[in-house]
Amino acid sequence: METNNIVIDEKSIKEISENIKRVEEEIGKAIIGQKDIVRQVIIGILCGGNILLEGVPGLGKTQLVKTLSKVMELSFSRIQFTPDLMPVDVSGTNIIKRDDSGNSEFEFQKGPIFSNLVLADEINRATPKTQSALLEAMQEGTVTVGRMTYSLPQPFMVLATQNPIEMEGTYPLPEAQLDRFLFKLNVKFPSFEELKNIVNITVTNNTVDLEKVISGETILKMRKITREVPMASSVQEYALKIVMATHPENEASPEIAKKYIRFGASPRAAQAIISTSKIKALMEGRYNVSFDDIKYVAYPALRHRIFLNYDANSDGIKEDDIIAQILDMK
Amino acid sequence: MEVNRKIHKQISKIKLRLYFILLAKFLILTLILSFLVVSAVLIVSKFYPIYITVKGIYYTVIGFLISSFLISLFFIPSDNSCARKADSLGLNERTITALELREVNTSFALLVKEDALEHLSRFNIKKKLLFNISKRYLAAFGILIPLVVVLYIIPNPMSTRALQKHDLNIAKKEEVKKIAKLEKDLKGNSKLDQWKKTELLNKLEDLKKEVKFSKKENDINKALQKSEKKLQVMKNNYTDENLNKVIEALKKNDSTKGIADLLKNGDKEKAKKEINKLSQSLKNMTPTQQKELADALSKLAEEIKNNKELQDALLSAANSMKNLDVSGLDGELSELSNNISKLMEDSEFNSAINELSKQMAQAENDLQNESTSQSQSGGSGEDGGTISGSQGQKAGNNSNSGTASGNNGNGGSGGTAGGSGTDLGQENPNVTQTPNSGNGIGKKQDSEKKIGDYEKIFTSKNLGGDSEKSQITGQKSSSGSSSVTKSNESNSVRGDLVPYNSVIGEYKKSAQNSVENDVIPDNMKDIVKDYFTSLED
Repeated sequence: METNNIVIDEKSIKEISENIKRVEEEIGKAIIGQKDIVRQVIIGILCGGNILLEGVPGLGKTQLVKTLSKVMELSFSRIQFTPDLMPVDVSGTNIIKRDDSGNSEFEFQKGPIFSNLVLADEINRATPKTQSALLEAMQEGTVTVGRMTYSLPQPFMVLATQNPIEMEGTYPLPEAQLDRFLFKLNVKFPSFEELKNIVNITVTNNTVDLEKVISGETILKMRKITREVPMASSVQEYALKIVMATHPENEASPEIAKKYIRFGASPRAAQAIISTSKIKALMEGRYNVSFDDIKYVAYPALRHRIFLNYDANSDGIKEDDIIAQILDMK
Repeated sequence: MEVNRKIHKQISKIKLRLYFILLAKFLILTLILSFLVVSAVLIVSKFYPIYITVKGIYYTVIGFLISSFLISLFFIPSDNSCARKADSLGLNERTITALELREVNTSFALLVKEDALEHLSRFNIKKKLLFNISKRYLAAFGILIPLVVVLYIIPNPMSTRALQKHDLNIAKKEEVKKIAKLEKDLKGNSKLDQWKKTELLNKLEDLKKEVKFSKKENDINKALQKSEKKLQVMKNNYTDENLNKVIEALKKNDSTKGIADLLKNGDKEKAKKEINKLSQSLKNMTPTQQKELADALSKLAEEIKNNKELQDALLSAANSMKNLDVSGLDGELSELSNNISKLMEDSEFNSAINELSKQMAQAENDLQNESTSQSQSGGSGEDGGTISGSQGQKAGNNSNSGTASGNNGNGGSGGTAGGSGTDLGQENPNVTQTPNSGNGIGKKQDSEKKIGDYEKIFTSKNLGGDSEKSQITGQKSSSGSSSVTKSNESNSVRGDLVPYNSVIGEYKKSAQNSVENDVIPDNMKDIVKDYFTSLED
C-alpha cells in the first residue's frame, strides 16, 4: 500500500513501534520520571500538533524540549515570552542590508519560530498581539511578514508553557487559541526518588550522552503511516460520545457535566482524540485502537477545551474530575 | 480468506461457550421459577382441592425447562457480541476490529487480522469465560427443594376431594369427547333432513352442556339418562313401525311389489316416482285387482298408528281407487308418496336416534363400571349414585304398586303410586304426601334440594305381578272418598329406594300396555300418556 509515495507495509508499521520505544528510552536517560509527559509529547510530535505544558518553574520543561530535539535530530529554539515581547521578535522581520556594491535592500531575518521545535516559555505573559503571532504558525505552519509568507520547517511543533502560580499581570490565552493546542499537559512535581535522580545527574560532572534515534523525515513518514491505523466503529463512536458528553445541553451528558460545564469541546477535540489514540495504539504494540487508548488521550485532549462555570470553581471541581465521570458513562 | 475463516472459527468457539453459559443461566432461573410455582400450587392445594402427583410436578418442571431451552435459541449471541466479549477480557478490541476489516485487504488490515488471530488462538476460553453459579441461586435451590419436598409430604386434607374432582373431570372429558364424536357422525349423516339433524344436534349440545356443568358423576349419569329419554320421546313421534307395515302391505300386491322393494332399500325418490305412476298402472289393472289394492290400502290405513296424515292419505287413495276416480287419484297418490317419503326420513331419523341411544347407554355403562371399580378401590361413590342405579335396574320389575315418598325441592312429592295402579287396594289415589312430610317409607336420605334431580321412590321388587300390601302414610285429605281397612297382619314391605328415573321406563311401558289393551278407561288414556311423558321431562 502506498500513501503519497510512502510504502506502508508490515515492516514499516512494526518499525514505528520500535522507534517510539527507542525514543522513549533515550529521552528517559536525560529526563527523570515524567513518563506520561514524555509519552504524550512524543504522541504530539507524531500527530503534528502543538502542546501546552502547565507546571511550576524548574520541572524540566525546557530540558525536555532540548532532549527531544537531540534524540529526534530536530532544530530547537526557545522564546521567553515577556510583556514587552513583540510579534516580530517571534516571527522575524525585514532588515535593511547593504550589499558590497553599497545598495540597500530588505532581507528577511527569520525569527526564533523558524525551528522544528519551538519552546514558547510562559506564553501567557506576552500580550495577545504577540500571542497571535504564534497562531498562524501553529495552525498553518507558515509565517506572514509584510506581504511574504514563509513556510516553517517540518516537522514543526510549538511547546508552550504556562506557570499556574503567577497569574498576576498575565494574559490568559483565549479559548480560540487554547483550542489550537493538541494537548494540555500538567507537569507534576517529581517524587522523592525522581528528585534524587535528577539531582544526581544535574549537580555532578556526569553527563548524559544522547543518541539520535529518528530524524525529522522519519517523523513525517511515521505521521502518514499512523493515520492508517484502523479503528472499530464502536471505538470511534465511543470517542465521539465522549466529546458530545462535554456539552451541557446534550441530554446524554452526565449530571456533573450539565452542572459544571459552561462550554463544551469543539470538533477539534474529536480529531485530537482519534488521531492521537492511533499513535497510542502503535506505542502499545497494537495495530488497532482500543477503548483504553481513547481513555488515555481523552484527558490531555479535553482538559483545556472544556470551560467550567462558577459553580465548579466554588465547589472545587476540576476538568479532570468531569472527564473521569464522562469516561465512566456507558 | 484463510485468516478470516480462522478468525471466524475462533469466534464460533467463543459463541458456543457463551451460549452454553447463557443456557445454563436460563435453565437455573427456570428451575427456580418452576420450583416456586410448584411450591405455590402445593400451598394452595392445602386449602383448595388441586390434584397433584409426582408425575405432574415432574412434567411441570420439564415443561418449564423445555420452554426455557426454546427461548434461549432466540438469544444466541452474534459474532459481534462474541468479539466484544472476548475483547473485554484482554484482547483490546483486536477481534472486533478484525471482524470489521473482513473485506479489507490492506497491509494494516492484514496485520490487524493476524494479530487478532494470534491472540484469539492464545485466548483460553474455559479460563476466561467461566461458568459460575451465583450464590443467590444456590441459596434459592437450598430453600426451594426442601420446601417442595416438605409440602408434598405433609398430609393434605384436600387430597380426597382433589382426587374426586380429578376423576370427575376425566369422566366429563371422556363423555364430552364421546358426545362430540356422536355429533360428528351425525353431521356426516347425509340421509337425514337438516332440521332433524339440527334437532338431534341440539339435544346433544344440551347434553354436552349438562355434562360439562355436572358437579358429580351421578349428574353425568342423570344427564345421559335424561337425554336417552328425550331421544325416545322423539323417536316415538317418528316411529318406523308404520313404514314396515306399508312395505308389508305393498309387497302383497304384485303391482306394488316393486314399490315395496324400493322402500325397503331406502330409495326414496324412485319410490315416490313409482307411487305417482301408480295411477297409470291402475289403467292396466282389472277391476278386481284395483279393488284388491284399494282394500289393502284401506286395511293398511287402519293399522297405521300415530300418523293421521298417512292414514288419511291411504284412505283417500283407497277411496279414489274404489270409485275408479283416476283424475282424483293423481293428487291422492302424490299426497301418499309424500307421506311415505316422510316415513322413510323418519326411519333414518329413528336409526340415528337408536345409534345415539346405544352410544349413550354404552357411555353410561362405562361410567358406572368405572365408578364401581373406584368405589371398590376406595374411589368416589357420592350419594351412592352407582348403587342406586343398579338398584333401579333391579327394582320395579314385577309389582305395579309402590309408595312414592317425595321430598321438597322439585315439587315431585310423588304420593301417587307408580306402575299400572290396578292393585292399589285400599289406597286412595288422591292421598298424597305433602312436600315437607318426609316421614314416609323410604325417606330419602341425603336429600339435595335441587330442581332437576331425580327423586328416589320406593318400589317393590315385583313390579307387574300381584300386588303386595304396602303402606302409605300421609295426611288424609278432606276431599275425595276414603276407606279404611284394618288388618291383623303386619305389613311387610319389601323393596328398595331408587331414583324414579330408573324405574319410570318400566312404569311407562306398563302404562302404555294398559292404555293399548283397554285396561284404562278411554277418557283416561290421554291423561295417563301425558302424565308419564311429563315425568320424563
